[in-house]
Amino acid sequence: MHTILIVEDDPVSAEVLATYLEAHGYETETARTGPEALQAFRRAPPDLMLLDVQLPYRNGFEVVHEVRKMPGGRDLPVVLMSAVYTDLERGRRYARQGLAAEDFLVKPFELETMLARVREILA
Amino acid sequence: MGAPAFLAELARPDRREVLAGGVRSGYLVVAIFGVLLVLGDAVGALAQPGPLYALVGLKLLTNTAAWWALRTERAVMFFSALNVAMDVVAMTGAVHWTGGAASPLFSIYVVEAAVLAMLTNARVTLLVVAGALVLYAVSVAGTALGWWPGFPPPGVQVPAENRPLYLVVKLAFDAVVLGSVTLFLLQNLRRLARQSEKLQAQTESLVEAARERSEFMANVTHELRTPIFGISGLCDLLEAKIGGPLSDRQRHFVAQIRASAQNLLHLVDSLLQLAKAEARATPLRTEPIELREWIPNVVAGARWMVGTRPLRLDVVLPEGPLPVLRSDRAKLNHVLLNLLSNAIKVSPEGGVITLAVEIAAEGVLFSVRDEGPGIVPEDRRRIFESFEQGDGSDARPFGGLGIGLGLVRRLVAVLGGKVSVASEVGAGSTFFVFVPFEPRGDRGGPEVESWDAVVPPDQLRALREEARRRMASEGGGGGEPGA
Repeated sequence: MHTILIVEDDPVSAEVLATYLEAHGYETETARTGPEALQAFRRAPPDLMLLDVQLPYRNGFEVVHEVRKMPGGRDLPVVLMSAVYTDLERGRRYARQGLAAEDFLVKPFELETMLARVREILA
Repeated sequence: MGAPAFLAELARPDRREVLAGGVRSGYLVVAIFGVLLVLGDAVGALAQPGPLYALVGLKLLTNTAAWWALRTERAVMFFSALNVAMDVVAMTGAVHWTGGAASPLFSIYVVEAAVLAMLTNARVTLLVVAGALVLYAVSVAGTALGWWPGFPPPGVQVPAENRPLYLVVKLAFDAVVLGSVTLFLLQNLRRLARQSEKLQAQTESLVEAARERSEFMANVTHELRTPIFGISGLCDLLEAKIGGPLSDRQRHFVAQIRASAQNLLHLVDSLLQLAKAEARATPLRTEPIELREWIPNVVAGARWMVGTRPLRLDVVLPEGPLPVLRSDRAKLNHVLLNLLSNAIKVSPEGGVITLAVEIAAEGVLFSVRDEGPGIVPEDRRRIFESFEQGDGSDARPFGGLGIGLGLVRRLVAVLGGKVSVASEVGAGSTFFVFVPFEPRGDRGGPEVESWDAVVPPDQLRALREEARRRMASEGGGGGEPGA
């Protein structure tokens, strides 16, 4: 069974994502801030990280940057999500710098879309 | 180099216009004096025209030197100072050789003071006026002391023993006249400068406030998107029966919640875009757009807004290869989604929405047709004003319509295009957006046009014919290429 680390500061969104993924056979772990996400990663590296860009303390891009430097973090698939369109542009720029995320979802997205991407990546 | 601040300030690049203005007015004064001199000389009114000709020539020389310095950016300070010093010498010379203390030309000092006070600053003006008074005093005193002839001036009878007193009184009088005029000018100019400074500060703070407001709006709207994701996600969970099975009525309610969330999202996006457009914070970013790839994306977004409502969304694309449109993808996206979202909002159950794309000579014509209630003629222009509702009254039949269309108008104007609307009450509306192949620079001009100016009625009919023909050939289903 694949484990997905959900990094999301909005508790409702985090619950929605976790519930949906669990209902489709994934194990999930939830972190609410960047530092929490890094701790969770260190404790038990997940198979995929679903990462919000707009986080308190450290934004999603910084979290990706940190994770990439950690052992086992080089090849971790990351799906970024954000409610801010302009983050999409920034995401592409970061991708060019080799901090690639597998995908970028603009909130609000349909959970089905997200599930399809996750399945594709973990297939 | 080493020039005092009040002088150096004049040579700053942003003050160069002032110096250039001084050179221009210098030429004007030289020309006027030259003509007066020639005329006065011709009628024999001048006792000593020679030195006056020399002064005009010298002033012409320094003025030209100042002009050259400004042109070549060389020794600007030096030649400008020389030019002003020459002004003082020329004026005093003109006064001296036309009667000294009795000269009718004394008032040109006042004119010079006024010009300097307007063009430069208080210290420069006072310095030049003081210099002029010293030179003038030398001229008058020299005459009185018999260094050169001509005292007392003709028409003034002063006994020899009273001449020193007369000299003092005359000089004091002239100094008081010139000094008080200068001070009066400076005081008024300082008041004006203070007012303009205050106005500038106010403008700056207003601009800053507007920027802060739109930034705040942008932040707020971003924050609003997050709970909308929560709502739509919870709807997804319910619909996926993750919380257990739903009755038909419950499913209907969930669909309604989702539709409300979608409306809210669109409203929030429109507010954000409007805030940006008002702050002119969204620069035009042009990129090539492949219509055949892009249109299905837009349509997918619209289908998301339709959700489970029983509406049909048809797409009509011309056959054959489509030209590449160079425009701003994000803005155009928002324009079409806004129009489609409005069409979805006003459509009755079972209504048909048609998005048609037509290639014109200079650009692409998009049209979005709905079978909604239509818009009465008086409102067809007004609905494009920001925040204006279809009705204009308290009744808000289709929440948020006004925000969206005001934004559409602004965005299309930035793209160099035009919007128009054709509508029939009871039958529906067709919104047209014309976008040029390349964005044009002209952002002014009328952005909203009456529809027949953009699309002649026969073309509109052809468009509808085409739509109908395609619908028939595809068995009545929605034609959506590539989707």
